[in-house]
Amino acid sequence: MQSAYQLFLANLKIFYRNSQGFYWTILMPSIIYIALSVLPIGAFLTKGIDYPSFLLPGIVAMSIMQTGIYGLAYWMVDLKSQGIIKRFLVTPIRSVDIILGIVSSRIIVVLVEVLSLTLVGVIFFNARFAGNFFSIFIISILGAGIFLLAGLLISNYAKTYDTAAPVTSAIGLPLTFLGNIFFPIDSLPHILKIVAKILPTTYLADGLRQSYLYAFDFQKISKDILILAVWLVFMSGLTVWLFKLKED
Amino acid sequence: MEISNGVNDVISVKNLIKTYPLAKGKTLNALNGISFNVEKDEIFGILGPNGAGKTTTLEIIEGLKHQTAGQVTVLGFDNIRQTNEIKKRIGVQLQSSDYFPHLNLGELLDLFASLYRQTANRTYLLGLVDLKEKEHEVVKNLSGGQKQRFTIATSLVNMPAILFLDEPTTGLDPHARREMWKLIKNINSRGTTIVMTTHYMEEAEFLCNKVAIMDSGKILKIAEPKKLIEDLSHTTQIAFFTSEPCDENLFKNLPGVIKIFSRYPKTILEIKSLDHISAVLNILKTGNINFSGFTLKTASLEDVYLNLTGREFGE
Repeated sequence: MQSAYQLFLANLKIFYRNSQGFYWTILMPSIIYIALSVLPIGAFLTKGIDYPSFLLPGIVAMSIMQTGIYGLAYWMVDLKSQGIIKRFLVTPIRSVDIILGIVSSRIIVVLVEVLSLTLVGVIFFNARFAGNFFSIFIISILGAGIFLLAGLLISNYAKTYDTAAPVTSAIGLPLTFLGNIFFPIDSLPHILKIVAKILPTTYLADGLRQSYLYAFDFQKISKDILILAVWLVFMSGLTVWLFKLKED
Repeated sequence: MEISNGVNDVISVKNLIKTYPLAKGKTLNALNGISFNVEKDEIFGILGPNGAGKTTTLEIIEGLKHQTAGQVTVLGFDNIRQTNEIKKRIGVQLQSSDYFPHLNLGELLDLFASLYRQTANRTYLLGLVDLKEKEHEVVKNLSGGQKQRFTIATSLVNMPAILFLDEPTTGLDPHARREMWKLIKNINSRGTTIVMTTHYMEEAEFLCNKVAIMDSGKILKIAEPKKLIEDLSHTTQIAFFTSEPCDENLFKNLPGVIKIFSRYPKTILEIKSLDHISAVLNILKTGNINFSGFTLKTASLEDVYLNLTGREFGE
């Protein structure tokens, strides 16, 4: 565990010293949120809720998803292609500790993202925030777990950016555009609605939205938490079954 | 083939076979039953061209890969059943590997030491590789030689009993290569056994106590470099140019002369040892032969390789 903790600290250091990573992970979601909140698009879909308030939890869900599927997958591909994973594998550190160290640092990144986006929404757009810190925390962690595991699995099969990029796009795009992020899934055509009801982002965004917009009501978020937990168990099983930390 | 009595062995490799599956049910035999032993405190070199199986051999010993058949023990531990015990006690410099970006050398050493549950002695390690003043620099600001020396420092964080170096000087300029040789000798003199691969003959000749010459997944010969060279009949070659055609018979009865090859204006003599040079010079002098461009070439590992494989190194 000591090794995993040191890897966790090293990864956090790398993250906050890397201006590009900071830009894409923290700043970019805020810029998208600001841009879409300023424009009047989407407002007519949101049933009386002002669009910045509707959008904020959606963008938070999107950035959680992206940190896993794009951020972690590309980082792992990078580490493998540069021989860094192989270098670790000739030391006594266990593969599970390497993964723990890298993945747990990304959970901190997710929490920083959630906090910074929330502050942008509340301060600049007076977005609704009911103050349900605990449920936001739990739902964010569940979402981070699902998508970080997805990122790990993608990196299992992609050796380079070129092979990782189409896979991340194929998974990331439907999760973004059908996943309850920019508009409610009720406004989707029937067939797409069926797809949307399977996607974890649908429940991540919904759970966050209930927690951001309304006073705490476990009844309202229990279905989201349950489905996210099922997704997390499924992804964990898939990871244990399929993921192997390979040298290249 | 083995030249060890087994008492001081720190590595023992027996009948190692490694095959990789290829498409359509075919297989690639990377290692074809190689055997060798490495003794404590020696610098053992594995020499061979690209694709000879050098890196595969090292990676099996280091626990990165598993063999298809054969036995490997390192410091008495089995490479498959006791991989972790081996990893704790060895240091490894891979042929190519990078480092986490945005971390300085000191932080990277701390990180690597933590992988062994140890604390890095930054001052000692960076001092050893002459990078003390670079402690707060990041790797991308180092030159090729400095980066390679730093790689050696990271592989010493656990004070290993055996250090594996996979082509440690590939891509370095001649000065950086000499610096690296000094460093390797220095580490070895402090009691670390070194196993290294190289495709530079002069490197193996200069550094290694024992050399295994590999080609196509086989070990062709193992011996001390000096012994390998001495075993060749043509240990020294003399060449010179003459102003007039030179009569081969002049040298025929000289003791120590093995072969004479004369094609005007060049004459080449192969002699048993350096002791026979004076006799050759004497004949040239007494016979009033006007000669120039006198060169002397002792046999090298390159000649050994040529002799063993029948082709030039790297062909």
